[in-house]
Amino acid sequence: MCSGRISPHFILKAFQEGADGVLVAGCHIGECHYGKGNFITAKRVAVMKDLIQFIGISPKRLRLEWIATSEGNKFAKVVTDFTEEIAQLGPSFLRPKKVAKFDTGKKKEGFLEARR
Amino acid sequence: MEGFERLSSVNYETVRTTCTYCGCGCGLLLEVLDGVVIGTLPQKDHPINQGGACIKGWNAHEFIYNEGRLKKPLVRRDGSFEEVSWEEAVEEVATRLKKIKEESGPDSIAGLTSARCTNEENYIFQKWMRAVIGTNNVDHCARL
Amino acid sequence: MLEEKEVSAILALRRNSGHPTPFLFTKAEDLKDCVADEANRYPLTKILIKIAKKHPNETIGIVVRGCEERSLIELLKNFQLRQGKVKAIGIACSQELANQCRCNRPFPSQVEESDLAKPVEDFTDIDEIEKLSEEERFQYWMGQFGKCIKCYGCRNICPACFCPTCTLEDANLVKPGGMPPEIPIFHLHKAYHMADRCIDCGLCEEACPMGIPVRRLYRKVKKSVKDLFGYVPGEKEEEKGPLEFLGDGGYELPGAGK
Repeated sequence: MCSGRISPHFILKAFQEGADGVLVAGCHIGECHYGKGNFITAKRVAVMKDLIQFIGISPKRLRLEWIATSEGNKFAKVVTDFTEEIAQLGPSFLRPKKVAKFDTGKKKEGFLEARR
Repeated sequence: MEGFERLSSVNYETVRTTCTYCGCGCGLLLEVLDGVVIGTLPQKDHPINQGGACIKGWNAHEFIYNEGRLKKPLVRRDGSFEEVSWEEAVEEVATRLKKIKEESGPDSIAGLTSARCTNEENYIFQKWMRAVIGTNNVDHCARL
Repeated sequence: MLEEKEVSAILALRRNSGHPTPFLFTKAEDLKDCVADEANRYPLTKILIKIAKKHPNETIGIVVRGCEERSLIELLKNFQLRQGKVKAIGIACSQELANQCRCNRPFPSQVEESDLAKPVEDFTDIDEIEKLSEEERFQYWMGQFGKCIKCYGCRNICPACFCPTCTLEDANLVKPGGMPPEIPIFHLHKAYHMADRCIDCGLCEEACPMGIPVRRLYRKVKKSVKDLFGYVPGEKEEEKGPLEFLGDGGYELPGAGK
């Protein structure tokens, strides 16, 4: 599957569901298995970063990395670094405020409910 | 001048009207293409909505060509609906309502109309309920 | 004022009992009712798509202002209208109108006569938001988006929005039901989708019954696209939007790993 398949709408959906960070990884430029897919990924993520920054979600929460299939170590390093960075940034504003420890069947309180 | 006068079969116009749904009464424009209503636009210069409309207003044209609409008067006989003429239908309704009004009084009758009728039709209906039947029991699906 | 060309009809605003409404003029004598410089604007290009779809062989003229011409170029680029079947008749907007709309080009490329108004270049609305801290921005936008009643007005009236199946109506991407809808992504979905198509006409903000400053959001995305790719929608007919094709490395790619 190509990173070009990642619709920016999926990224937005992930943030809405409470994701603290989104990492998009694809083949290196010029090495796309499908030809030119990663070009559009780069363009999309660039526009998306500006958009979420304008709204007040840190652009650091969305990262784009070029990782080849054989670069296992790089992948591990990127994921570790990214996780640390996100941990420092803290939970996303869109995350549900209270997460039930046990499944009491109660609805999770979201950002809007907490504000009311 | 010649090119313009070439007879075209295209006809598009917008008709100013008022939304039939809630009590706000937003001004709408119905888009009519070749005699068929295809869309709705809110009126920009209307003092009430000033170019805005709610989702019902934006889709106020959708019920016009709905397949579920009645095409002929129907009377239920022996458990199923029968198509009848307008005269017969009016006669049937008038007789039965008169009987009910005499036996149980005007307040035993309620009138339910629909937001998908024109404002003028709804006006006539409630006037008829109040003046002819003599009851205030009149309502419709979107009296909000 | 209007030259007669080889068209079957002309789409413009017509004075209808004192109110300007869109109308398709088919007879020359009706043209005296035609209204040009009018503060109340309608998305004529969008109406043209509907007419052209039903009558693909007719050539239709359309009276366009600056913003509508940009919309026409965008729609032609995206194959919503056919090149030879549309004839644009340009009119310029007055300075008053240009200031009211904060238009950056209140006149089309070919205009009949009259003085051209000065364009208004004003980014204070975007700068205002960018001055706020991240949390303040988030509070501001969630407060604004929280007013949304999901009327789809911004999408219905937008001349650049033409998808038959809309992302906003897709149950997988935006949860149906709920008032307000899933925010902020409800508005962000549209903002992204129109990133390289928004012509900054301002109809969206005028159509919002709740007064949400959506135009600010779309202007910001438009500015982003301009800064990143040097592309401005509605200007050149040959140039395709950067998000409409995969890429040939022609645009300078923003660095990855940031």
